[in-house]
Amino acid sequence: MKVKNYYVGFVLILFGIATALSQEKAVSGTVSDQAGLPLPGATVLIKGTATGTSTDFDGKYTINANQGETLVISFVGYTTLEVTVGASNTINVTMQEDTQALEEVVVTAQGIRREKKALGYAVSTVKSESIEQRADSDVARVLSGKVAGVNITASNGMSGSSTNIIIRGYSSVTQSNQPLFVVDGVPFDSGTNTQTSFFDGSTESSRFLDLDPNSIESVSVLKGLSATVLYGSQGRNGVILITTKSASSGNVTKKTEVSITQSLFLADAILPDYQNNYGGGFHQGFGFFFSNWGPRFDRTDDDGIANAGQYVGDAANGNAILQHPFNYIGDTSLIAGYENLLTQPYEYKPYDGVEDFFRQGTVTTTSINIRGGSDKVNFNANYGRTEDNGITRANKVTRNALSLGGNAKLSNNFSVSGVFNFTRTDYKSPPNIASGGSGAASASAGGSGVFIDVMYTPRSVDLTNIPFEAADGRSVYYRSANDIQNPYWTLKHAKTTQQTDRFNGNLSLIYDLNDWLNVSYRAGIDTYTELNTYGQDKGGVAGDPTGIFRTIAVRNTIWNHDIIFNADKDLSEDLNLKVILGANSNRIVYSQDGLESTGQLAFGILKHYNFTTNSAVNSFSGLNIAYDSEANRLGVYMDATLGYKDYVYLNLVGRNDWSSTLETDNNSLFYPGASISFIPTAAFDNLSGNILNYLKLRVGYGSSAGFPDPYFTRNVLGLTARSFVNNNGTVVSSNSVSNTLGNPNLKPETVTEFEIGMDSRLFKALNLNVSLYKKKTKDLITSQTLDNATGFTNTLVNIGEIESKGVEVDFDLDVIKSTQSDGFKFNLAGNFSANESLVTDLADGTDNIALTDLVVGTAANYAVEGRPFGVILGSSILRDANGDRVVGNDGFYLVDNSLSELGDPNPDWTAALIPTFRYKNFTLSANVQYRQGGDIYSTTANALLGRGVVDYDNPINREANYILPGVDSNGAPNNVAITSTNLGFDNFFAGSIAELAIYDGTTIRLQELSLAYSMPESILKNTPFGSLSLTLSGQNLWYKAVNFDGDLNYDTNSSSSGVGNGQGIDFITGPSSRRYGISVKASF
Amino acid sequence: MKNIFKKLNVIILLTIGIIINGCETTSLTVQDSPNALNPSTADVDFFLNNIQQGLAAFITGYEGSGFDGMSEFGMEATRMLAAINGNTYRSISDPGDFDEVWATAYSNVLEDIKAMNAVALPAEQYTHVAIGEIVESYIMMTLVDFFGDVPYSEALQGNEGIFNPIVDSGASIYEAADALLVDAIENLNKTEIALPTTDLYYNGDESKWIKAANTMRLKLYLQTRLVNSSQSTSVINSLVSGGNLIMNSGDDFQFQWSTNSSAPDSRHPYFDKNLDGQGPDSDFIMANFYMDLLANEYSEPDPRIRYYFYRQVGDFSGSNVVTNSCSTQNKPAWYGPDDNFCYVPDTNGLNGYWGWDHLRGDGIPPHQQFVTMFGVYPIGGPYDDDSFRNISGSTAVSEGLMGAGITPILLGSYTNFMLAEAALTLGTTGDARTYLEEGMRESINKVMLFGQTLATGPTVPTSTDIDDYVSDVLDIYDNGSDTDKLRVIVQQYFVALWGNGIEAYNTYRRTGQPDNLQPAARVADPGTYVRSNWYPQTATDSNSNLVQKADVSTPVFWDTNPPGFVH
Repeated sequence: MKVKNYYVGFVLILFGIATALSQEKAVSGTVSDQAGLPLPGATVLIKGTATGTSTDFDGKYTINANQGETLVISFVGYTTLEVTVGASNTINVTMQEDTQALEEVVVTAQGIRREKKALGYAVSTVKSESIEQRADSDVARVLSGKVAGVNITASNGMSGSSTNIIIRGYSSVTQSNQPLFVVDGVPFDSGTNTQTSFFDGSTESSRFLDLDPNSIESVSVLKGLSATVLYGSQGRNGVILITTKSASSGNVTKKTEVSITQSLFLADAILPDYQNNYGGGFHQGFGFFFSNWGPRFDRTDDDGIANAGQYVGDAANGNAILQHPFNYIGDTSLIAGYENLLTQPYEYKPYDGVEDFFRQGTVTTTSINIRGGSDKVNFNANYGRTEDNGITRANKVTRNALSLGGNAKLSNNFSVSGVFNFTRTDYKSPPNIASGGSGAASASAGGSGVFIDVMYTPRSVDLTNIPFEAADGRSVYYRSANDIQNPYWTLKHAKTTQQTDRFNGNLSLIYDLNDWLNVSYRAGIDTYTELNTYGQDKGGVAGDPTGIFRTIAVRNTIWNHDIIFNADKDLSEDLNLKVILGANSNRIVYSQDGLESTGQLAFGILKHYNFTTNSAVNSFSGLNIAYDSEANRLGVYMDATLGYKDYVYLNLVGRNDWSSTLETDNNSLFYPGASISFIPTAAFDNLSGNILNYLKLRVGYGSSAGFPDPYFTRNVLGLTARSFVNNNGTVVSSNSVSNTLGNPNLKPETVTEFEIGMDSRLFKALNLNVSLYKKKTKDLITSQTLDNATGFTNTLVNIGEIESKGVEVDFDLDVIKSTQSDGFKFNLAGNFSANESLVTDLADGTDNIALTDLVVGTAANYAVEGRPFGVILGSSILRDANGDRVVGNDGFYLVDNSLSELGDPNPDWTAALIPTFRYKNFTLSANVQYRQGGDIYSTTANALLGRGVVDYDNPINREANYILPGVDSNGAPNNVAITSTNLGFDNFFAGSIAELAIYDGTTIRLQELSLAYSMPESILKNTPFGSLSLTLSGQNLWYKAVNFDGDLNYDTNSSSSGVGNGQGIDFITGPSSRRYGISVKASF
Repeated sequence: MKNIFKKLNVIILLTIGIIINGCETTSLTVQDSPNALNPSTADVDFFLNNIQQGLAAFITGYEGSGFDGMSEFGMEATRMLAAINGNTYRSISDPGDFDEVWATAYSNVLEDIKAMNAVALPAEQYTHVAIGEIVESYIMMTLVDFFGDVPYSEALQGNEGIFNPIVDSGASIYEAADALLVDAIENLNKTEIALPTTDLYYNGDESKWIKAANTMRLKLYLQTRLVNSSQSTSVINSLVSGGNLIMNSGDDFQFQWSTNSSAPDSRHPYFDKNLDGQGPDSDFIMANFYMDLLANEYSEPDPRIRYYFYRQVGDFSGSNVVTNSCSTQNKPAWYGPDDNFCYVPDTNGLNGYWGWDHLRGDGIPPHQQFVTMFGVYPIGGPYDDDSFRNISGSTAVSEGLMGAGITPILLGSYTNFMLAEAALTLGTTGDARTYLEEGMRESINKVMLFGQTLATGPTVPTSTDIDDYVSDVLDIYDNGSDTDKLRVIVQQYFVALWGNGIEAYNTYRRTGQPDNLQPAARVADPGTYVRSNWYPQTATDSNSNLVQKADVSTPVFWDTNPPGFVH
């Protein structure tokens, strides 16, 4: 097969060329496979020219050609055929399945299509079938488990919350480790515009939420650096290349096709199994407490409940009756209007308030796609609408996406193509905030949160029926001091919204200079405005009691220009050279502004006019709301591939970047790459046989750069216009040296990667791909936390080195193949990834670097020399010289306040198995994932168990005393007895000992299960439908974190620290959800 | 081919034209942040404003943050406020609790003093410089008092690349602090180009700043009397004879907060934390010991008690195992006959002082509507006129002086008590008894004056009440041994110090008085007393030359008292 023609053919398909020449005649025919079935979409082109077409739905084609010319007919997975045009006007061909499969064409950097076999690096492709009609509207979460080496973590089960994506481990300490999204060839901002520290709440969405999974044609994941060099520094964390259906319009037939997808999914919260034996209280005594260490419900414990001051008698069913908690509310003005409740019996029994607090979520999705065209013009239009009502009441995501793409072949060898996408995403949710199990985790956290005081509601609290609103609107709850905001009040009166209008698109112009050289210019724009609001009515308990409303408008624009020369020439019979030379300019302009108001006037109205005081400062972060930044980057790049006889390919790449975020002396970096692909099965005829059908060996080296965010090289001066107002009303302003120390000598960080791999096909049934890589980052750009005694809080420095190495395996095995198209088939695909990121060097004098904002007194992720990236450090139980745990005079464990390593949050390995069964028109498929290891600091587990609402696997006998195993300060065995409450609450939960909240995260998960039925053509023949299929599917259907106490039903795939470099840190992130439903797809 | 290149040229030109359409797209020189000022625009007065506010924050914390300032730690260790974080001294605080106080001291205030001086000295703005010196001296002394050896000589040099500053001995820092005060007085006596535009302490009165500096030297030399008594004696004598000390409330060194509740919240931080919606902050639960000291130590209640505390209930009828878990427990065996447990008795007729015992690390019960709250002095809360309102709810924001409280730093009464101690222990100039009486009267007057707009009706102490109280105290003083006399002086100093835990914590470790503080409630032996505190977590995590202590038993340099001297 001739590579050149294959490639050119694709170019032609893309730009639909048909040049009329005078002596031509129309040749037509049918392209079919061995079984005689038509092959739609096969390429037919005239050898040595830029003229070609593709077959329609019935495998038919028509092309104008001269007698004597050669038609080259190709189709992915089949051996390319060449047929000379003779006298006949009809040429029917039968394609043979290519024994050397995998000669597929993949989209690589800068949208360049390459045969997979010519690549010296790994590219994983996920097709639309695996993405569309899914229950999750977040494309990243849909990709979970589908690509080896890609690790995806949701912030929580809230619809629209942010998602963290890490490809091949971490390569940077404080720079982003998030991959670059490229949509239809243009960088797409996938950032999460976090407005405050994660402990103030992390409800912001990741901006790839703006992508409708149903509009995606294919996703290519470029994992290694040798694959991403052309994208420059932005590509150093891997690139997710998305081709939308609108952009792939070049592949369509001329017949107009309309397809419609309609889905309905339901979502259920996955909650702990609460224990039903004990209610609220402490030391077996009842109280309207926040802890659940009270008396038994069944009253077999010496009838502790009858001793309670609130006890008034017994119900007919034997349960104790208590006075309603409102009898004890200190501020009696709160219960005005609820006086009738005071005399009502309040039964002491377990209530299912938490279950009732969540609802069944619904997700409806509609997607309409229209494609069509003529000889010279093709188009695709897509409309998608998703409405996702989350499991948390008041949480909703609505997304409307419109896109239009097309291409046209102009006269004089010009082609033009473009794609325009518009998305409006409305997201609303109650605020979520990190919690350690008692209100907000951080004492300096700013507001309220919907999950913080819900999950561990004592069993005897009737969350559902206790009124949550006082007559004047204030929050009211069961506690006498009313010091906890009622979660229902939070739902109703606290909210965040984010409304995004996003436009992204590109326009490209290609000029074919001759049959081996073209030049293209592509301009891309990605711009969005994001309107954020945060508000809470007055009368709350958490956050500002006078009410708060904050609006922040964000505008982000990426301008991207590329000019690319693309040459493809056969140098000789055996040598082919492909060269790409390009220049790129990328400009990112970010701007935000807004207002914060406090002092609400009319209750319930969150508008700035309804507040007494306005401020330009975000009171949660203490920072000015307004923020502007611009970053420009220029790059030139080269990519040359020399192919010899279709079995050896040598690829050399290089790029030089200049960034505006560094001072002139340090702002330029050149980084090269090289790779070789060798196909022994093609080189040695006798190698290929029934056992080994295809083998490719590849080796690659790549490098990249990391540039810092803007404005870290120079010192700035803080100005607080209103820092104090004295008793006379005089406003005092102040200057302060910025706590961030500017570093004029900051350099880019450099990342290098060495990768070897193998792609193979065995027994004509098994595709097996293996990659091994070793990645090293030097001169890490690090936000180093400084001892404040230096005069500064942090600075950006280049210190240290991280080394990641790993292995990725993916395979695809036809276990049962059928010769008949409707026979029983069983395919088993899967992937395996193991990655170890090690911090190999930190600067002298630096013991560790915190990777996220710290919540004082809790565990966090750190970089420590010689240890895996992100190890969890925190306080531990004090141990004596013998290693024995030391117990204090009070019988409680003593805390060791020095930082100790508590765990490694990186999973040892992860794997997924994807079995697919096909029979007749049914397809049954699943995605089962396994995660080995990866420690988690879980305050969810700690709080639910320690507060006594969920039982340990080995439940604490609450009616017994305990002596903690350990020694006293003299080394003698501890003999101080403590109560079960002391054990659970004081030691495991409230003891400030982070070590006790560390769990191993090994998890097995049924991530996806789907059953699809497509209507056979025989039935469809007499209908207007071209195709009709029905799919039942579910996501996150079942999981088990084997080392967590079972009743917790804890989902390890969540992270409180949101998007960033934190992992395995859970501050009551909220429950995850199980989604399932039905989807119908029809085309006309 | 020629034609091709012609077309090519057009495309290249077109492309380059679009790329470089305005150099902003390709400009590589955009390193200056548009979001902050350039350091060259620094304003000396604005720096000084931040320094002045920073000092108050260092002592009493920030609004809306978990950071309560230095004073609160000192009050917990001396039973002025309840220590509830744990059952032992080891757990009285966590290292992370000190992060913000450290940050405020160094990267906020001291770094700004350094930056201000760089501009103010050449500009001959000597008053600015002097104020900075006084603030720096106070902060460094206090850091030594709480932590022992801390960074100083290598501190504030992050921009010279010193990221791991070594610690200096407390003694050397005290020496430097004294030199700063001497230099400050010199600078205040110079003629400056311009006075500060805003002086939140003394409204530009340099003579008062001189008194503050002198009084701070008195504090310094009293503090070091155990390590160098002869020098302390001579310096204190010279300060007394100089006559330039803060002796009455007109010269008090204090920060005045306002009622402004937002943009920015300028109220006393304790007010915000206790009376602004979420109920009282658990860092500020009243200590039974201290309330008992005012209610029952003498044969009548202290005249200041209704100004200091607000009782939400008139008795303990709301007390049960739920609202007050110690209510069903027996007094611990290790408590002496004079130690109260769980409740403050109504010996002198005042009931309902609902607080917490020392080192009782229990979870916080739903007691917020019962517990005793801060009164009008010094945080600007309500006056206790027996109205027994529930002020723990969100409506409490309008209580009392609505947060227009003060942060007391060095008051006239403090000077008198310091001089009383010096006269008694060092034999310095003056009569200890006279200073004691003057200190008491000065404090009572100040407190009553502070709350006079709220204090009306029969509960307000009469001058007879005050005289009775003063003579009662003096009687005990007169009839006691030297140890008894010192106890009386320090007890009275403790009462006058309400709101300032720094001097209380220092005085307790220096004198061992009052020697009748309430024992720990949970265990007989709560471990060695907190002779100095954990270093801040972030600092030890970040600075390889600052090694976390093994425990909290190491005394600071001026504390030569034997182990077990304080408990």
